[in-house]
Parts: sequence; C-alpha cells; structure tokens
Amino acid sequence: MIVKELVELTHWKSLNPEAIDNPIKGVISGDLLSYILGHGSSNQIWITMQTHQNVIAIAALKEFACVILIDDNTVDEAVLESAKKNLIPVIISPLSAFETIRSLIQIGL
Amino acid sequence: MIRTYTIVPNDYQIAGSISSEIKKLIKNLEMDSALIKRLSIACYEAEINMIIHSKGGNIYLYVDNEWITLNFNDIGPGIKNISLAMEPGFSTADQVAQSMGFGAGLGLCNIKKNADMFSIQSSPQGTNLKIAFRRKGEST
Repeated sequence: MIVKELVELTHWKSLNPEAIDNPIKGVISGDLLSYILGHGSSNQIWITMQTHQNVIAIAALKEFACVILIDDNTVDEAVLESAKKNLIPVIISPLSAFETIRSLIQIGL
Repeated sequence: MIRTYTIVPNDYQIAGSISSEIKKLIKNLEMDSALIKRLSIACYEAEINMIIHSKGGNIYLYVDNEWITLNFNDIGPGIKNISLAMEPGFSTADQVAQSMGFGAGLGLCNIKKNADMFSIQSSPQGTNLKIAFRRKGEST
C-alpha cells in the first residue's frame, strides 16, 4: 500500500498531498522521540501526538512513509513547510491513537 | 573532509537540522545505508542532547578513508555522573523538553549502541563526546 491509498481508504486529511506516493511497510506509534529513533524503520507510518518541528526532522532521518497526527492535532505553517521540503506526508486522524491503529488494521495494514 | 557546526542552546525549532545536513553529506559519499542510518540516529541524539542540556558548543565532522568521526564539544555545564547518564531511563531534561518527547533517558544509550567507537569526558567546563563509524566492512 502507498500513502495515497491510505488517505483514500481512511478519508483522513493529508496536509501535503503532493508527497503521498511513498510505499508503506509497517506502523510505529509513540511520542518519545528517542524510542522512535531507536525502534523505527524506513517506510513505516509514524503515529504520534507530537506536532513540533522535530517530528519532521525525525521522520526524514528515519525515512518514514508518513506521519499521522492523532486527535485532530495539526502542525503550524513552519512545520508544514519543513514537511513539504523533506517530502514527509502529514496526515490528520480525528481518532485516538488506539482507534487510529484499529482503523489501519481494518484497511489491511 | 572537515565540517564545523554551531549549536544554539534551547533552540528546538532548528533541532535536527545539523544531523539532516550531515546525513546528506554522508549519503553523497555513497556509504552503506545501514551505516547512514546508525550515524543519523547517533548524530541526532547527540545534537539534541547539546540543545537540551548544554550552554552551546560545536559539532565537528571529520571524514577520512577509514572513519567518519563526530566530535560534540560544548562549553558546560557538564554531566555530573556519566555512569548514571548512560543508564536507560535516567534523564535530567526539563519539563519543556519532556513535553516535546525529548528526555526519555535513551539518548546516550542510542548513541553508544549505534557507533563503532564511543568516548565521553565531562567537567563543569564542558563535555566532549566523540563517536566514530568505520567506513568499510558493513553490508546494507
């Protein structure tokens, strides 16, 4: 599955739809940045409630497929610019982390 | 190749930008992807540590035929107990850093785990963290 298909299946909002062709190979969820750095793999989806600049920095370093922000959280303009520059799709889920993960399982991830 | 980067304390907005730049430089050297990943993680953790804990300092990148070396030199206030700081879960990060997801107490462990060479010295005048990565002998 690619990020574009994920967006189509969930109807969640993509903040930078120009960067949604990344292939998805798994999911990681968490808000502790060192944990994500230590345990994440390339092309994973990262589910988090963190919304600051370093989310994009870490997603780019780890080469994640995309970042999903839970509970309708969003990012400011500067973070979105960084996401566009680093080609990291940012998607907003209206659901909690648990419900977001359940939805991803339901669509086959 | 030698590069120098300056760290501004508590500047979370640009945190990670130096690691990102170093990663791009190393990628251009056509290194193994596994090495690039290890170096990126260690470099990011060390950069963040300097931003959270130090009064500022410099990062030095040296590349020769055998090693990629990173020196993180700050101007204090130093690490009081390095053995304790190396223990997973121990952190002295403030609430601001912790609310942003930093300060899990895994930084130095992640750095040591990912580097081929690791050394650290600290005093109230500053901390010197040196890590190095072998350029050859690793598959992707």
